[in-house]
Amino acid sequence: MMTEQAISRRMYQRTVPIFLVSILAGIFLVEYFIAYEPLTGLTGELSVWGSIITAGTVLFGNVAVILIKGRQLSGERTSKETFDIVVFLGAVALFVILGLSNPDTISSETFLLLYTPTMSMMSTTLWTNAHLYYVWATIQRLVRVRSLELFVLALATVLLIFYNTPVTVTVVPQFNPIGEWIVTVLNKAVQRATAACLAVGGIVIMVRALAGKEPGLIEMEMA
Amino acid sequence: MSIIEAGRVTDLLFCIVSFAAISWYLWQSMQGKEMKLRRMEQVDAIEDGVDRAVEENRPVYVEPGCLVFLSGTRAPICINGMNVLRYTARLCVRKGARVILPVPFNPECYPLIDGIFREVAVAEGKPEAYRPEDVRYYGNTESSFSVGASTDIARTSASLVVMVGSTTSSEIYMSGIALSEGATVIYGNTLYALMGAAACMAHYSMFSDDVFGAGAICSGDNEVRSTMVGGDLAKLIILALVVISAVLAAAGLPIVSEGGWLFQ
Repeated sequence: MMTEQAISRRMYQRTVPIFLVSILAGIFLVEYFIAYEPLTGLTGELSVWGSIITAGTVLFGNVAVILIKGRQLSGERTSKETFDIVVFLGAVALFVILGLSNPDTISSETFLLLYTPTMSMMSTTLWTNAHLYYVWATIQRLVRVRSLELFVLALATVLLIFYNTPVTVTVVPQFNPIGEWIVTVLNKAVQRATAACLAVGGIVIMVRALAGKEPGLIEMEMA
Repeated sequence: MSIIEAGRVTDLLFCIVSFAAISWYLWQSMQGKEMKLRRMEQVDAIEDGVDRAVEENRPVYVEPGCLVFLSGTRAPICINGMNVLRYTARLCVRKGARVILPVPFNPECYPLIDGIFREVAVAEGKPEAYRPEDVRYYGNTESSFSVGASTDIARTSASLVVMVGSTTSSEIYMSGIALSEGATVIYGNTLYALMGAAACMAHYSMFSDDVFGAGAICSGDNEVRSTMVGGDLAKLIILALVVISAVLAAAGLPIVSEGGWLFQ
């Protein structure tokens, strides 16, 4: 049995937001299907507010990260965890100071000089290595054909590698139509089936969320 | 002049039919009708994997995909991934396995994941099982996420890795590391692009609708399951429409050509 306080919380945390979202979703749906100029202007304005709210959620997430990391400093932890947290909070503090110390904020030369080379270099290096590993590890497992499905997958992979390699298509031109067929017929069919399932799945989640039946959200405050 | 925007009549009909089908089954379940979904071995494997993690005293990793956004087209996939995350975290807390939750590189879902973990621990009567340091954020780039999470999986020798939701190739790297550590890997994605790699790199993979189905099964809620049943009806209607359109188009009727019946 819900207490009076819990019912009150449910009202402003769940019922009212869902009611508002339902109205907004209805406006966007009608605008998508009905050719009516004033609605287009309204949804344009609402989209701007949507972007502002989304930016707010990102800010909320970032603040939560900093708070949680800060809180972890006071708890029990290993020296490695302490090091990680200190590096994280130190980097945050450094870039906040850098950003705020110049009128150009994150476009200032000092900020860009420190941020862009370090981040892009680290990111590119990590990404390249990870991608190399991804391709190698996947192919390594693919060649161990364990089932009919994996055999078909391996065959399609080999054919597409030949299709995308200029020298093999030059030597054996038949790889070209085979590859084209896999990409334009089989692949497109799968893409469309996936898109249809994703669309229906999206509507399913939307109906559940609007009906207040979606369990992927936090419920604790209302217990 | 038509009141409906040109080229969107079919979209509107599809939208109405889907809404009606899903709402009908949801309403029926709210009246007490039991809705059944088939068993999924991928979901069963989560429980088996948690049991194994307890026996081996090794951690479980679960995340809703690294490309998580709470708005736009990715939002439904993200929320669905949270269902699986909640289910896995709940099992871990109940059975006594340590659960580690890598946070996607877009931190807007950090409070949501942290909140689910805390809620699950409280709901299971073990608030001490909530360890905020096990909700791990690796930075705001995909590369830092994939390398950071992969390193953690290797360092802690994970027993089970569950990655279902808005996953990308980053989870394939994590799968590779997890497999080399002897972990059970469960991977789910709604997009077609990574299906081939996932089929090779996971013990249990879920594609497209499987992910939504798993989310509904994990919820353990009859009303949530009912929406999937309604969604299946919508998909059957789409399938019938595709077949009928193909037959009529083959008969020479202007169905799928530019400006045809389906594109009114």
